[in-house]
Amino acid sequence: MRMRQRPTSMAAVTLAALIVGVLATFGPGPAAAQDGGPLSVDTPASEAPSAWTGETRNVPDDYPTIQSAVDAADPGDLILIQSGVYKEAVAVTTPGLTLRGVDRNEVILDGEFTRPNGVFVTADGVAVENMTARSYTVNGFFWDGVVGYRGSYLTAVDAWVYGIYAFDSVDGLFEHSYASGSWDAGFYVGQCNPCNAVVTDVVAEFNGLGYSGTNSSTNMFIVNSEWRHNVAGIVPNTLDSELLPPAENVVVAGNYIHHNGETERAPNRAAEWSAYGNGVVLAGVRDTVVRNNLMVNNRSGGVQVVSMIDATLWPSGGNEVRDNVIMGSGRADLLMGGPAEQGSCFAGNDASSSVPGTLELLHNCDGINLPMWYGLATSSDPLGRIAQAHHGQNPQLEHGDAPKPELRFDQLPGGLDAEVVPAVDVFNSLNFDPAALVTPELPDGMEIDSRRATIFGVVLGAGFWPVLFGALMWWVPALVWIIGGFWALIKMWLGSGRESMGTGARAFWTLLVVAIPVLGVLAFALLGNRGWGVGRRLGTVAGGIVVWLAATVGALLVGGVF
Amino acid sequence: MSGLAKTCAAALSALFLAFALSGCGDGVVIDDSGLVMGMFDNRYRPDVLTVTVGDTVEFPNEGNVDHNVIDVDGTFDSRIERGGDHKPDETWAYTFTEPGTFNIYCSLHAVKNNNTGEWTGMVATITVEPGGQ
Repeated sequence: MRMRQRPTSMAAVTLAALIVGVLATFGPGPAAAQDGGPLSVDTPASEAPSAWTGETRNVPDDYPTIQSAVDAADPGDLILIQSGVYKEAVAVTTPGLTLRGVDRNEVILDGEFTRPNGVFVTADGVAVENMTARSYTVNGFFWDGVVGYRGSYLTAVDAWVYGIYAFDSVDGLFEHSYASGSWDAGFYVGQCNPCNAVVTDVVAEFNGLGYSGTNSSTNMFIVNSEWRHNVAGIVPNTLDSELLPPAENVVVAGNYIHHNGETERAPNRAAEWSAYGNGVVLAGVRDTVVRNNLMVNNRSGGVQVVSMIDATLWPSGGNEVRDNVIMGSGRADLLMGGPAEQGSCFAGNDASSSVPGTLELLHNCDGINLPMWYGLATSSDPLGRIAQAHHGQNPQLEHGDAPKPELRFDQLPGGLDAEVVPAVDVFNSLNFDPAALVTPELPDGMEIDSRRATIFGVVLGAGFWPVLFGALMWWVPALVWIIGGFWALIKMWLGSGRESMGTGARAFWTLLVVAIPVLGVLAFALLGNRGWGVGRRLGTVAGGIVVWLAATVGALLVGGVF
Repeated sequence: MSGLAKTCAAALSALFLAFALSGCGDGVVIDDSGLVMGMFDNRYRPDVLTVTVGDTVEFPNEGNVDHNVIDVDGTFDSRIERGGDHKPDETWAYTFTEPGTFNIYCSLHAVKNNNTGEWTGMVATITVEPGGQ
């Protein structure tokens, strides 16, 4: 994932959203379209045979390389690979094959930091099982444009872009697998709707993102897995660089997401860095459910809901964050920001902090949910991170420098005798009940980190750019409301207004100043403060806005955000 | 400070910011000149193009990862001139001097069927028609 900063025309949208916000009405929170269970959608037809042919192609006994066995195979064959190091980039264009290693930890495909993809599949129904890919310059295991895919008991180490990856593919499963050392994401499902895909029982560590899902929508489940020591954990997102935006109807449930916010051991680029330290980020994502996850000691936040600014502004909205257990977050457990975020809600979370401060009260899935679009208190941090990356302040790793796992991973049950099943009708064949997912238990002895020093939701130790953007986009408006509000009230009730304004006028302005933060103060300064001349009032208000705007836009420009 | 207060304050900030950024663009624009083929993730857009001899086609990398442009028959390979793959936001251009059909692929995101010789994945076709003689 990478946030691109192209200028966009959004004034009209923004103004409309503000009007909606100001005219907010109270109502029940919207339920996400995908309430946690599968939606009924059709799966396209697969070109793969649905059953094994009974033919086994042995590598290296019958064929010296994996590629030669694949090239000789008929649709539906099994490619059985003995232990060894295979210095290949395998291309699979025959449907319905099953590539199986006899030992996950000893069947190793080695890219030697020169080959692009370990196993690259462009045929329907191909299953890859029980092997390791290491040191590829692009992806470890990669399915592209297929109907039906499955990756089981796979290990991807130092695949430089993505570890285990499905693009423009539907009806899939990644399970019992591991990925580390990718600057973008360990696991990635991109550009599909409906995806009809499940990522379950996987571990991702030391990646830019544990999971990234750009424009992957509908029946997209990321569940029952562990995401640790990445720059950020799970990041469904919307971008213009792939088709089918926006991402929507994703379910993130039952995961253990902890200690994300790596600075020295996880490679990353600007967009990954912008998500720094969060367990889950919904970036320009709609109608998505994040529930029953355990999030511990993430350096920034547990769940962060923000809009995505790419060539297009992609607001988040309609997301449901409920029943998660979140603790030890550096900034806050729950965060929501805009611009233009609207309709997401929170409920039942075991969390102790949020930005803005009362998310579960004012945006409750089961009660009041103000239909207001949220501002930049939360978003200032990712914007500041982009500026850090632009100025080279995000620590970088060379390809291959991330920590290596011990190759002692679980094997495919049944080994050589395991049933051979082409990846056909994968999603419908799963014995998968999302409703049965529960929140993981906190491991014994886990020490919970203290919250980092923050002022009004801005982490003081986050670095120059995040603090600067937090100050400009949040502290300044907040101070205008607080200090300006006191000034206005004193003017009205103790100063010149006591004689020049009637009681009704003073009550009106008091209500405005208190209930409509910042705007109320500015309106009073411009129209209600008759003790000042017109020129002074105009100069003060317009001058203040111009100075603030110039400083903010200037900082964004110098920071390289735009 | 209440959440409502924070919302309104932040909303004002965002409004000002939005006005500052307004009028600058309208998101992804697929060039309609007929002389641009974008490298997105992980497809060329458009993936079929017809040009005339002498035309120069631009290949901007609009994606978030590296890409390249290679002719199946070996007429051109963008990596040679660039010295490697094209990073995001980089553009490579090629002037077609002969008529014909050019099938191209990205070596990072396309694979060849070794039995048929067909490429799949990130592939495209450019047809070059004779000039206006």
